[in-house]
Amino acid sequence: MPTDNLDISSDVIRGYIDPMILRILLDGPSYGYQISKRVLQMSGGMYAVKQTTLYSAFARMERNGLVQSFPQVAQNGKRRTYYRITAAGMTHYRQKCREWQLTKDVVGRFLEGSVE
Amino acid sequence: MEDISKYLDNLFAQLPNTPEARHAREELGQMMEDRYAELCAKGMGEKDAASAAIAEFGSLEEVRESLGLGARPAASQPADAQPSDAQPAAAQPACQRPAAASAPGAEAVPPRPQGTSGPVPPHVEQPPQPGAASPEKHHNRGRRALLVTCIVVVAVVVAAVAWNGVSASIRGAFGDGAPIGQSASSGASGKVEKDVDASFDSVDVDVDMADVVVRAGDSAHVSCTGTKEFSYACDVKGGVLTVTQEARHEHVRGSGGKVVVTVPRGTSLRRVTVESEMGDVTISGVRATTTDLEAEMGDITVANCDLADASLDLSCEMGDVTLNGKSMGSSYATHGSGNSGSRTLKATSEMGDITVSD
Repeated sequence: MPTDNLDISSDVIRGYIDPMILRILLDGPSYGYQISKRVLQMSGGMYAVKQTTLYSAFARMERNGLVQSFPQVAQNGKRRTYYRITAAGMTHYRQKCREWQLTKDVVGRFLEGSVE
Repeated sequence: MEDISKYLDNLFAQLPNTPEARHAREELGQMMEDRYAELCAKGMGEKDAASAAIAEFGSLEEVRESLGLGARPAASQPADAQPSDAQPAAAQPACQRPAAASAPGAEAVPPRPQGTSGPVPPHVEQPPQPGAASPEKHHNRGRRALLVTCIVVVAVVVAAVAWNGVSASIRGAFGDGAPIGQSASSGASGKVEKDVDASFDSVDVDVDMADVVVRAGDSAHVSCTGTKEFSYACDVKGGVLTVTQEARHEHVRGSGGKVVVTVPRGTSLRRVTVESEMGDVTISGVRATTTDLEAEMGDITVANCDLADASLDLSCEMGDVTLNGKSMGSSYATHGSGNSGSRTLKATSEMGDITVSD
């Protein structure tokens, strides 16, 4: 049942916010609000990311060289900070994909198919 | 919209006023305003839209961590401090505002919002509860005294930093020759209209957000118009006419202004330098030995500048170069054909187009 937000286990989902953003940036550079809308959309409306979560992810990833920010004027004439994925960001994304497969597999052995 | 910036101002008043914190505030403000604008466009009332945007803000703790400030002790940090208008003024260090206000020309450079309010710990607002004496209370009182001491130290540091910023701006505005157009008293529009002494042979315009036009006309004149967000300084010194722009506060919004420099018709200048970060640069009918134009996010247009013998160096990172109506791709360079070949036109635009015609 889709809800507006996931408050359960948001720790787990926050641990994957970086690769989620990187996945969105693989489609092209984007800016804060556009990325937050894309997160909501790609999560099927189940995860609305908080603005501070998004900002701290940008800051962290930029510090680690996974994304690069640049100013650009959007279609409506407003000046915005855009983010693009770097080569290091792509490597990190692929690593996180493998990590997730493993995590899902291991945790699934304990949690899946159990009592509803 | 106002609600949102008030909310952020209050929240960020608790953080040290560092470039990182200002950047975080700006980014978060962008996201919240985008959210607000979209909700309004969908027909939601302004108040409701602002509340909804604020509800999706999240927690300041996350921002603190990303700024490398670390989390605060849980005891003194309510999860998400609610904004309160009375809060910042109440605990303001007494030395701060009068000092800034008494400085000459301080009104030209309003102290930053964070600077005026100072870091205000939420716990200062909580009066000690009477009659609840317990060993724990004494412990708390000791800790409170320690925290208050820390806060005073932080406040003094912030005040010192803010004051340095203000005095640096004042030095910038008044130190190098008298600013004309009285940028301090030019009113809300930040406007400058000024006939200037034609004793210059070079023009140097350096602005962040404005369209710049350098053109030939009847007499030397500088006109700077724009929003109240900017003040301008313009000065002739050592043969150079200099025009600079300064934002009156952090977080400038909206479009910039327009700077028009008129050079007496027929004069041949030594050097024309224009730099505009966001805005178009247009040079028309002005002959100079060296012309150096840079627009990070605007178009550059050069027309009627008698370029027959000049060396050209035109380059765009993302736009196109057009020379006398012909597209030249993203960059074009040629050596002057004149006997000395010493006249040069250099134009660089990161995100705009460059159009040059004779």
